[in-house]
Amino acid sequence: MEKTLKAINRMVADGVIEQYSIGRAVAAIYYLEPFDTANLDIFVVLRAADEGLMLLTPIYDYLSRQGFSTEGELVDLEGLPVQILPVFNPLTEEAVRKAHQIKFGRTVTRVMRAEHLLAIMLDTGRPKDYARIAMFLEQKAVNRRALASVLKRHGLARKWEENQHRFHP
Amino acid sequence: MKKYPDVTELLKRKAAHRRALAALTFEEKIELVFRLQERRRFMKSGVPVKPSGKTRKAKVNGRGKG
Repeated sequence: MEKTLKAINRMVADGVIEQYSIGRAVAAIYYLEPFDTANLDIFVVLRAADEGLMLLTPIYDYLSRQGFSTEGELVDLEGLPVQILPVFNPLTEEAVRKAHQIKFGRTVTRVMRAEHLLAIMLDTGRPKDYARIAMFLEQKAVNRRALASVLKRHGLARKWEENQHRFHP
Repeated sequence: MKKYPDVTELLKRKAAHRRALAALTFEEKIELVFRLQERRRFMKSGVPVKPSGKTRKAKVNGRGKG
């Protein structure tokens, strides 16, 4: 996976994307016990000029030139299917910009903070998202005050209250 | 009333194991994810075993081996 992360870091250095962060399942694994997941989700902040339906094309073109194969929306980076997702609302953008900088092996990478992960999971609201929220709460892997602040800032405080029964340990 | 075994200790140990896994480094966790993926692929690679028509017939007639 280190090779994968190096390739993604190179995209930032080469100006293909502005910033990125590991999100969803793999980011959750950073805080919780490992569980099976199909792919690595990378959220990216695109450069201001990128827009429209083909907004990910420069990324896929760049990765193809680097020798990585793509299959549909997934890029095969070192045997690990990677899904690249542009930030799509203020919450996901904040999650990328405020991500933790960590080291994986000798490579620096970025992982979304637990409070942002929970807010995104709540916003998405699939049964597996609620199950993962329950895991975070059960393992006390999130700072409740920071979470409350994110939820309030992104208009999710009410949804949190209304769905407590789904994930309260 | 049927008496069931007390699994409290078992569940406690399971929770402790999950905590131990959660405390691993990110690299170690990702290594485990890869292993889980291999395990999933292995389990999915299994082909359902259907006895062939000949074997089934032989067994029904009581002439099958074993």
